[in-house]
Amino acid sequence: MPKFALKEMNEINGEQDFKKLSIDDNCQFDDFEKEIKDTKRYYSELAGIYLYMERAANNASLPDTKFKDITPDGEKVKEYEFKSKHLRVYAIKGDGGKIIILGGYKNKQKRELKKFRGIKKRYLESKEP
Amino acid sequence: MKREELLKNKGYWMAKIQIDLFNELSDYMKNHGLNRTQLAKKLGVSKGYISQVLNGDANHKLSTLIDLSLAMDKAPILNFTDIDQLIEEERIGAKKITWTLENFSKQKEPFHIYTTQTDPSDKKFKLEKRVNFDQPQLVHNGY
Repeated sequence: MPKFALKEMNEINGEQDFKKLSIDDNCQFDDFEKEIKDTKRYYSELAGIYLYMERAANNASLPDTKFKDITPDGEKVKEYEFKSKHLRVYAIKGDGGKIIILGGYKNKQKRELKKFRGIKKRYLESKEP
Repeated sequence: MKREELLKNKGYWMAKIQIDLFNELSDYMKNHGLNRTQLAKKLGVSKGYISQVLNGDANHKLSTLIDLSLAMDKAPILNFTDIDQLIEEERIGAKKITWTLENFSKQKEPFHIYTTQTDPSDKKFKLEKRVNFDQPQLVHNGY
C-alpha cells in the first residue's frame, strides 16, 4: 500500500490552502517542476500557472482557458486543471483548498489525465477507514 | 518554486497583468450587459482582441492597453515597487500573521499588528491598527 502525504505550498499566498501530494516520499509535482527548471523550457509558463493557483486560492475569477473544473459527471471529489500554452497542472478539492496531484504537458494530456485520475482514486481509497 | 523565485519571474507578472486585464474587462462587460461583439464595437477594438483579453492571453502594445483602459473609463496607473522590498514585506507579513494567530487568543487588550494581506481583487492592504477585534482598520499601503 503506497504511503500518501501532503506538503504545504508556501509559495502560494491565499485564503485557500494549497498542498501537493507525494507518494512514498516522491512528489510528482516537484519532479515535474525540477524537470522544467533543468531543461529551461516553459519555466516562465509554470510561474504563470503559480499566479493562476494564487488567484484560485483567493477565490478570484479566472478565464476558463486558464483554470477549469474538469470533474466528470457523478464524481464526488472535484477535479481541476490549470493551463498554460504548453503545460497542465491537475488538482483535486482538499480540506480548505486544493491538492496538486500532478503536472504535465499539453501534448501528453490524455495519458496524464488518466494517470491523474488513477492517483486520485488510490489517494481517496487510502483515506477510507 | 520559492516565493522569491516566483516574484522574480517574468511569467508570474505577465500572467498577473493578463488576469488583471481579464478581470477589468469581464466586470465592464457584466456591468454594461454586453456580449463580446457589442463590447468590441463599444470599445472600438476588434473582436479578436476582446477574445484574447478574455482568455487571459493579451500581449499587445502599450498604446492598445491604454486605449482599452480609457475606453472602459479607467486610468491605467502603473506602480513600480522594489522587488526585494516586496519579498521582505511578504516575508515579514507571513511571520506576523503566524505570530498573530498564535497570540490572538492570549490577548485581552486591543493591540497593534502590522501585516499585509491580499484581497480577492488582489489589491494589497496593510492592516495597520486593530482598535478592537470587530473593527479592524484597513489602510491602503501604496501598492
